[in-house]
Amino acid sequence: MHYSNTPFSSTSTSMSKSKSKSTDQPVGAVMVCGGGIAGIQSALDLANSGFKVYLIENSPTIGGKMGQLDKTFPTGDCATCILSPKLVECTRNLNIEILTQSEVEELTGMPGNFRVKLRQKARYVDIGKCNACGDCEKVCPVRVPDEFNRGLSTTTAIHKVTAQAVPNAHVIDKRKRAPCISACPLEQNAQAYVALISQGKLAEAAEIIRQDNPLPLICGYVCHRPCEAECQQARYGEAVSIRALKRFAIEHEAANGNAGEPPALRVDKVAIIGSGPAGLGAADWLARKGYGVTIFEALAVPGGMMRIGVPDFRLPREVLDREIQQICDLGVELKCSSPIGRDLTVDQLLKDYKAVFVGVGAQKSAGLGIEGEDLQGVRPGIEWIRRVNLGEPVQIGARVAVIGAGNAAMDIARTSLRLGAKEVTVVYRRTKREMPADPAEVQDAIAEGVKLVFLTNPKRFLGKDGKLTGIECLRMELSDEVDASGRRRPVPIEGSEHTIECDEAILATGQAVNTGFDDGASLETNKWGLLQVDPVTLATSIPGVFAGGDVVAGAGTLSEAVAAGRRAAESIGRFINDEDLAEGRSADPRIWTEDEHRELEFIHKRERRQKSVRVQAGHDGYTTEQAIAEAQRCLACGICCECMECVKACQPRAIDHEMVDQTREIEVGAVILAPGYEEFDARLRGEFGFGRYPNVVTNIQFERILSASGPFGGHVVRPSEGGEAKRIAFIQCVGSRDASNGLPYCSSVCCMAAIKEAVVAQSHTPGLAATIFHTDIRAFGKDFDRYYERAKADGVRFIRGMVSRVVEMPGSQDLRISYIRDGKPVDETFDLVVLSTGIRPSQAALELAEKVGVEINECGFCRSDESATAATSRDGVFVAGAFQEPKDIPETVAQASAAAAMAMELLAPARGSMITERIYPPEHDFTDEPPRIGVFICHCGINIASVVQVDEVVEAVRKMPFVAYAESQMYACADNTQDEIKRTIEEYRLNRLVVASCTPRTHEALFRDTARECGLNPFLVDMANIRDQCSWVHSNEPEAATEKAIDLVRMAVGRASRLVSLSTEELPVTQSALILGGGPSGMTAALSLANQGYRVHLVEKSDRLGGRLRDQSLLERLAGKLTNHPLISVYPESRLAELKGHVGNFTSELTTPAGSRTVEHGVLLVATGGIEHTPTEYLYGQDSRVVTQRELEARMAEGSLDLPDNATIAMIQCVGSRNEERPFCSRVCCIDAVKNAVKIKKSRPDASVVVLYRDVRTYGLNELYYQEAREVGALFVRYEPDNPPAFAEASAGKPPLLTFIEPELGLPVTLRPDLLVLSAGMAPAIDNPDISELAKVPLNNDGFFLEAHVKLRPVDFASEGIFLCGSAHSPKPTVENMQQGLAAAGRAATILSKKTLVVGGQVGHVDVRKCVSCLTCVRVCPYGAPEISASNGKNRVEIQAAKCMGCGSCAAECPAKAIQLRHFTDRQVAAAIQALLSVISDQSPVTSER
Amino acid sequence: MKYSFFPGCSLESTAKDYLMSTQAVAKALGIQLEELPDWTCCGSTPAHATDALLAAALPARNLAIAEGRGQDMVVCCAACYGRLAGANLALAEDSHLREQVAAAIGREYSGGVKVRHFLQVLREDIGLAEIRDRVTRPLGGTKVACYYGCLLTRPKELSIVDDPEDPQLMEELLSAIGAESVEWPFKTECCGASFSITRADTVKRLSGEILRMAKESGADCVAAACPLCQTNLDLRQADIERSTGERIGLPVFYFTQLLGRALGLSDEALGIGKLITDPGRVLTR
Repeated sequence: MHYSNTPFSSTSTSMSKSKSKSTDQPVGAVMVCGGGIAGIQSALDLANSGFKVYLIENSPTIGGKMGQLDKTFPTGDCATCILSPKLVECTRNLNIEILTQSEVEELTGMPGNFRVKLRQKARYVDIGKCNACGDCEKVCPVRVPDEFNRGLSTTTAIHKVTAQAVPNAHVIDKRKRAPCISACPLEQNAQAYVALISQGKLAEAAEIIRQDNPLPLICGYVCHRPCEAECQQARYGEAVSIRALKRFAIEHEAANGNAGEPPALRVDKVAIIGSGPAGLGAADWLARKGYGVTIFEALAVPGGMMRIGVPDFRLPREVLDREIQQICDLGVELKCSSPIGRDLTVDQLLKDYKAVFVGVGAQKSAGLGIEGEDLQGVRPGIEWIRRVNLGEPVQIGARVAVIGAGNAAMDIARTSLRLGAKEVTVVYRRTKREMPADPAEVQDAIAEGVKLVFLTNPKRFLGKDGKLTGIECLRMELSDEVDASGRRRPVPIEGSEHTIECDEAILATGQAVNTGFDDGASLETNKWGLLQVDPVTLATSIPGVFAGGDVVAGAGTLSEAVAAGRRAAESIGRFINDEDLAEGRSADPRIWTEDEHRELEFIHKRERRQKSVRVQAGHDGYTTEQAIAEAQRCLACGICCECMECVKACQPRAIDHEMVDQTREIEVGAVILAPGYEEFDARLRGEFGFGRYPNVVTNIQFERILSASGPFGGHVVRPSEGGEAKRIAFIQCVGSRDASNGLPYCSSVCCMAAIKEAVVAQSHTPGLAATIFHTDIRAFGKDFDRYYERAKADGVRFIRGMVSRVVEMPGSQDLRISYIRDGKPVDETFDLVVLSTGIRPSQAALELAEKVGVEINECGFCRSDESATAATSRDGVFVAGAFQEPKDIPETVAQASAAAAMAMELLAPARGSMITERIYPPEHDFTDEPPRIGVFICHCGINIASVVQVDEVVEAVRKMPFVAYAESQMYACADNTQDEIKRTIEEYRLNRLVVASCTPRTHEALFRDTARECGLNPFLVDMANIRDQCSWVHSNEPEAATEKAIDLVRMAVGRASRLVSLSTEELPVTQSALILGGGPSGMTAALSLANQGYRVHLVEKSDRLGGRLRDQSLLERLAGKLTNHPLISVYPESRLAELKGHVGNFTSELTTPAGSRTVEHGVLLVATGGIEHTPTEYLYGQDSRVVTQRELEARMAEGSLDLPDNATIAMIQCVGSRNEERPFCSRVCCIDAVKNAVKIKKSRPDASVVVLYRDVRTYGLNELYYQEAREVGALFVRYEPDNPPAFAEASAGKPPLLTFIEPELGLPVTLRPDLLVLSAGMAPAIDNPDISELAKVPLNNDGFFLEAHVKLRPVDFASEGIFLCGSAHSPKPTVENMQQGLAAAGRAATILSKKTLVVGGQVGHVDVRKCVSCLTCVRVCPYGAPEISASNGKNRVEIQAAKCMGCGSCAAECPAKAIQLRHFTDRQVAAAIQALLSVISDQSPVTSER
Repeated sequence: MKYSFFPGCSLESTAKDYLMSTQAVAKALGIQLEELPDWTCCGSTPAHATDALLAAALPARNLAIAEGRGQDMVVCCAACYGRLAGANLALAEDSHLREQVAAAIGREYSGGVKVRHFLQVLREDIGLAEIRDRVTRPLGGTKVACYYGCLLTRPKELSIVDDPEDPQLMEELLSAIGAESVEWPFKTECCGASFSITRADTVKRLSGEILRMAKESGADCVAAACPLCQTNLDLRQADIERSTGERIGLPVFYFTQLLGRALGLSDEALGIGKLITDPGRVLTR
């Protein structure tokens, strides 16, 4: 096709034009919101006709819903195959700026001059650097449901949305940091190490743990697990065993050795008082930063409370010693038996050290302060357990009471048992629920035989002879008053004194600080004797002295103390470096709110249930298999866990987790809203079991199932177990025509989607039986009814009826549906149920509407004026696609072009003012120079290089003929590589280029462009696809793949040696349009083009404008504007007699009343409309009571509808439609009938209106009229086509009777209507065949014009420069006719906006010496390019370059071999084959072939 | 935790075991159920089918008594729950009805009483963690089909669960005591209770289907939360087996009975002996 960027009507030579800034001049740019097919079409039309486009898309990729579809009906095209070229075109268009993950924040200004504030979310991947090689995906440990496949498969947190994603780059999905991380005082990245373990990446997991935790194994044994308390799994079942997994990872690492280099020491020295968790936490951080650290420990052994407080059965001493040693190994000096206080004070330390950290803990028991505490046998708990833990001798009684309920109390109780106590009772004043101890510890204590007594508080200790004998206690109850800890306050019950007998009472009721370290008492303390510090920086009252852990917080937990140590250490670092201590820090942990938890709970519901039960660890912790299984229970609450594995793997360094959202302001002249739709959430129709029953899927899921690139490779299988699905039921109208769920409208597309899916599924699996449960079948579009009939013939079963529920059968997971057949209930089971979920405006679209300031209608769609087709309530803002109303792809595409046309009208003066053109240097002439081929071989990261030995390929290529240069590149497509290629071309004087990499589909244009920038003709480039067609498909056979890669490159080199420069030519464009037909579509198109500044010739065969338009006011408005427009010439009573020429330069002969006229025009629009079928049935024309729907309307408009009281009006639908003669639906009759029924019932409530129908096809929001008609009392009775209503005289002389069968009763019903209204269908215009002949444009089987592509080119003909619109295309209501008229105008403007068209290049060329004028090429060419020309004396074929699309059909078919397709000539193709056979001829090739 | 307890007629008669087990479990968990003084019929099915005022007035009388006590009202019977909660809603929305009812029962009711099913109290006020901790005799993986019936889950406004199509309340509770709940499609199916007298054949068909579905889902037993459901599934089971010739043999417990056993309470205290279908096999597991 046309290669170079075509210049627009303005002439400029700069790279990018600066826009003219005058107040009158509108901005020549448009913002298109939504990157689905609508937005893409609008963007392309605008950019191709001289406007700058900002394409704003919420998601990371453009393509919208269409990209998720498998096939499109009726042609059965692969949706992706027809969409992808458009996506690629968008990215290549210099004037389309795609902004993904972006949303509009604010729109201000006036039509023509808007200002937009945009927000672009962080992608965490630099699109410019990412090569989409996928190396990151391979290392990502997170598995989450794949949204693109609607959860039928999983994907990684960093992923490419689809293989065909545009932009072709990865994206990282992130939520807020997972709750487990937020809950951890150390902010340990639990999600990351759990995720890594789940993938067997144990060393990486340990590395993550160590990043934030200097005492990982100790924490793995005794951390209080705040992470597990916050775990989503804990809310329903059991938390993921995060602590046990941590222990596993670290132990596994220890067993396999870990390497850590001690950092180089710095001179700045820091003193730390106390070697407990806080001190060690600080020491570790500081040592790793290179500070010289000395720890002063008062005791002879290090570890603080970890050693003296925690018994060894919970924390083995070798674990403690090992981890302390690891910190010492960082160069930390540990001085035991070195108390600070009397001999060495804090002040003195400050002289030798830059800073001091105080982490002395709280190692004193707090007493109860009650009578008898001095009795022998009453012991302070901390001191007691310290003695035990230090191995000092202690006594223990037979009956021990432990007062308190924290972890210390549990430790003391369990230690007592081990020391020989007979009976141990824990006394607690609240209930079990309020116990601060870890529930697992409590459980262990109970299991070991510890007794727990609740709601009991010691009043005094009883003794005899100074020895303890028991405790007098009070019973307590919980009052409603809540104390500072958030728990209900216990209050004593009066008179409830009782005695617990014991001979030993150990107090574990609290800890206090021993302030001996601060003998000078210079540090400020609070009323509890704890050090006063800044909560953020942990700075004390003395500069340079910091404190943390229990000495500040009182009795806290291990991880809190470590965290405090690290926090203080960071402050110390800042202090020493004279930095602000507080900047950028906060004290608040970011705990998840209940609402956030609930939201996630909903998301995880199903998965959570499947993973609710914990994998139990043995006493020695997990085995690897167990750990992996347990880690796989993680629900990945944060999605990305920031383990940074992807960063390590990404060779182009494209990933940046620090990216933040960006805001931006742009100026645009107009806005097009095309945000698309979202599917109804099928879970809201719980009776169908979606979300619970795996074999109940939505239609989008089913599309993914059918798709070859979907989760099951296109096999129709059941998600439950992967078995083949052979019995499939479709349930229609799920979230459509459903007023109870606020969705009263019809979603328009589901009937045909379901039929298509049924047909495609049946073709996938032999013997597959599809059943569609439906109310009406709304096959109202072009060729839809044919497709419906064909589906029936193919065995798709249609059952009319609404399914009330789906029951999943136990065991088989088959699905049972009950319905009525022949008046009896039937139960039938299916393998798979597909819910045809409706279309609803997305939340994002509603937010967009609000930001942009456009009104929405009662159904939540964008309000648009019926006659304005794409206008919204705000001037200068237009709408396209399903956001205006549910609609199918062709209507969406047409409306997108229509919206573009409206924007073009508004901004016509600014056309070309903001566009960018690429300016190239002149081309070098290489004629007659021998080929000097440069070959660039791509590694594609490891995509190619991991399979193909790229070096070997390079070596082999260097030996090939004509190769002047060969080298490999990491990424051939990277920006820097382009520069390298350019330098190489110049340095080696290369005149041919071969790139061996991926597919030309996405990359050829890039390399051609690079070549062109060096003065090389773009046709001197060839590509060898050694990735998609080699390394990817032969990954198991690397040696053979290397061989094949060499062969592929050899072929490309062979062909390249024969490539020649091809010239293109610029033809001037006649900037005017000829429009055939003056109906609504033709008039609308004419006005739009004229308003854009183009001359329009409007040809109407009748004597008046308007066609079948009935709305007089609309007609007058349009006709008035039209006849007064200076650029429009109307030719009434005229016809097209002859059409010559091609796109840009047509010449037409018109037959007018004034004689023949010749018109020159650049485009042709066929808007010849349709006609209403004149009924021959039901006594029409014989009985005056029988009228057509049109006549009824006319009578009502005139007020001449004369009816008796209590009149009966019957309407019969599908008269002359959907029959053998006219096997299509006329689309408008149902809508007309319900509207007229409403009008009659409203003006004459006494009248009875009965509508006899086959399917009521009130699609989209027209459904509301149908609903209203039923509400006002119109009766709707269905009839079967093989048993239509009869209207005949019952007996001679009597007025005729209308007889029909009521289908539910199965009985005949008779009526004697006062008026019988026939909904007569539409038919194609009579002169369609003539026009088809003249313009060489095709008709379909029904006699309507056939567009270039029924989905994506609804108003284009295959021949360039000719367009169609309105009922000439197919029957449709006025508003849609006008929409198509506008669309055709928008499409035509992409041609008319250019002064010249570039033609030539890869086109067919005829050797007139060989041509025998057999007309084969004329017949095969879909574009009408070959023409018999007499210009050279003989009548020989000439291929008009302007019409040729370069498909090569003519070259292939020509029996005389007279035609060659340039760039794919026989010589060039043969050269590739010869090269493969290694017989490249070294004779000098021909380099000019013009 | 104190509540006004509305036993209703079933729990005083055919569902005595439901009452016994509820009281035993409540006591074990420290839930104080104080029987509503001078309570009267809730109105159940007949009243609301015949007279809207009667349907509101009967429960309103009980609600008014509870209001004076300032406690939440706890109900076990699904029909009572439906009537009391339904009347509460109707009265809250309709001031005219409120006046009519006040005239009929001779006292004002401002609508301030929260009506709650015992399942809700267990889940929300006691909590799964607490119940899990209290278990002394876990159910050892007994497979239970949790059966809610229709009245606890419908209409949506009165539903005791957040997802009426797929409730999980009882499942969560029973998994906390060591049972394994089976997923099955008939959790909220109608047993036919209102036709118990008039169309016993229909009840048999519907209940039979429920039992078969539970069995096919792999359940060892059924846990019910409604006295009418329990009666239909348990009492009619032998009859259903006879007419289809298919052995079912599924004990139908009240959820409170299973809970009570897990908490270590005696079979006598829980009224286990009153079950018709032999629960022995399940209980000796």
